[in-house]
Amino acid sequence: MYADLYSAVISGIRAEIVRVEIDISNGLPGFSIVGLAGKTVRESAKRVRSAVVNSGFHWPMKKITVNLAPGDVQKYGSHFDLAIAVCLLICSKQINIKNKSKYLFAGELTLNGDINRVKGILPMLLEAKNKGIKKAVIPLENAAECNLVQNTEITFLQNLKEIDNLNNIKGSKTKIKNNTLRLNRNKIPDINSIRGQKTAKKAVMIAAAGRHNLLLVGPPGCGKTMLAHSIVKLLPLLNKEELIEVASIYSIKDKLRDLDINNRYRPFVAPHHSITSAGLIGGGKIPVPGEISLAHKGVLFLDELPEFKNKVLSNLREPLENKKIKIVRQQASFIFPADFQLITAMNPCPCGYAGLDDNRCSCSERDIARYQKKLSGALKDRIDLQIELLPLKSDDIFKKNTEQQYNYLKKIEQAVLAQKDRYKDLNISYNSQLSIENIEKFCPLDSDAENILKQAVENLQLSMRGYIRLLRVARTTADLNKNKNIKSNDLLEAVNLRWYAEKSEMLL
Amino acid sequence: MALHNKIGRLGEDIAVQYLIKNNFKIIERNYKNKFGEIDIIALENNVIRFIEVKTRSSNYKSSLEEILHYNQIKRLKNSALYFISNYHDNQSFSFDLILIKINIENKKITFFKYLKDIIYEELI
Repeated sequence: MYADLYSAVISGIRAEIVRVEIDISNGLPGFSIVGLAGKTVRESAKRVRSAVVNSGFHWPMKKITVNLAPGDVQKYGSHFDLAIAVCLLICSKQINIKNKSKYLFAGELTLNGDINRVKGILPMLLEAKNKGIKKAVIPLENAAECNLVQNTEITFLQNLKEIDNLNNIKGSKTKIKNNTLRLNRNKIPDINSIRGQKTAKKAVMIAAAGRHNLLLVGPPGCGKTMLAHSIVKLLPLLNKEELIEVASIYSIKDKLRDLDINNRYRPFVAPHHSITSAGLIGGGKIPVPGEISLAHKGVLFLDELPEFKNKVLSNLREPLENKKIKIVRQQASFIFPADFQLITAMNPCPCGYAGLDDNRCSCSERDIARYQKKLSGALKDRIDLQIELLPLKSDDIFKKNTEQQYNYLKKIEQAVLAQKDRYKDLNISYNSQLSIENIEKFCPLDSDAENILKQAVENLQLSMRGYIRLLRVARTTADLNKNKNIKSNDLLEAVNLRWYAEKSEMLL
Repeated sequence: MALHNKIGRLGEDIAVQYLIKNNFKIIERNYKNKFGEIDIIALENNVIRFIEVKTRSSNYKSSLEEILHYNQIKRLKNSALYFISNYHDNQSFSFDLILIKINIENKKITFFKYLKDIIYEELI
């Protein structure tokens, strides 16, 4: 007796369709799985048997052989349980499913037949859709992410017992409310609620508008972390394709609770500085995406930048340029997307008060130099905006939001639109992606501005790359000020926001 | 015959009676080949059942379920496979265990248990 069904396996950030075949024959009663099955798949033998028996079905006392095709792809994950159990029930003629080859099955069984949540449902459903598998049976706990996939008839199961009803369900259960997923999202601060720090707020706005990388340097307690986090509400929302792309990665990592699907906010990933290389860029024997891929289309925030291990940080160089990371293993290479915006924060010295007027800093020059040297030039060079924050004056602390609520969002939206319009012929959409060939074409300067630029290049001893970065930032400030050409004001603002990189007093 | 052999023989008789009452067809008793011995071979619903009978006197204190030794299971399996391959190829079959306790003084069965499907291989 033979039966087969479809399931899928995750490979990289995509899924591959796997055919689950079962043959029941006479012979020594037993159960065997073939087809390059990993440990979690092999363990499913025990779960499936208990689940089948405890759901009131009968376990055939015969020789059962399970094959997972194609045989040369490594299979791993506990989600094969459901497909194996259902296939076995079909094979032993206990249930009958019409059009069974139109279904994708995925779900982990418990010993009493309940169906548990599994990783990577979203990419599996997308791949199934591509391959013409239009129906799916998945755990109820995974319902939230399924709303992103359209035109697939999805049935949610809680227990293996319900499989009997499968023929009677006609896609009515596809509409499940989104709120089955409880988010564990921190409250995002509003930029208008942050007191003082006018320049820094402007820098955050520019970073949000042009997707520039940003370095915030300042003493402890001046609001670096809050400013960085507040960028989430300023960034343009994820569009549909981006949302599916990002949610797929979160689905594979089983981190969908951290992604706000309903509000479509961009992801904000803030790993602790104890992170390892594999944790940051992805890795493992079967490579899984790291934090930079979780920050895809969003923000990677590295607080206390010099505390990160140098080796770990230097991994960021390639992804910052290529917007993806390739992880090579002996059996295959995996490409994980990593189109993130880097926002970092640091103190100027170990004690945190270097460069302030009040001589509070207790660090020796050598300490400061060593602290700042931890940041490699290569990484620093890739950060467009580098600004320093000063501690709040007492007036600022007691001023209770008398400042009018500045409408950052509207300005940013309009600047983003201007950029999209300008670069519609290229495959970029933000000023920070401008390459050296295009920069002079898209950044025309007024005559005043040109003079200032010449002076700036001379006085600040800008390198070629520094010059390009200055122009990119100036382009964004011009967009924010609705200027077609870059005017002197825009350029001066841009110079001001690179001050830390070139001439800060906090620097040695 | 020593007492324990008598008890064993008695137990097998009791088991056979039970099986016949429950519509089993007895194929062989005390089947022997080079791999070992099988107490009862019976046929039920087109499934061949290899049955091992374990009998003890009711003085026996520890649990009977733990009595079957690993090597004995291996012997049972191998001789059954030999039987199948020689006489009943392509038949579905299964291994069962019958546990009996007998009170010798008043000749009463104090414990009877029929365990089905005791051998199941998970070849992974």
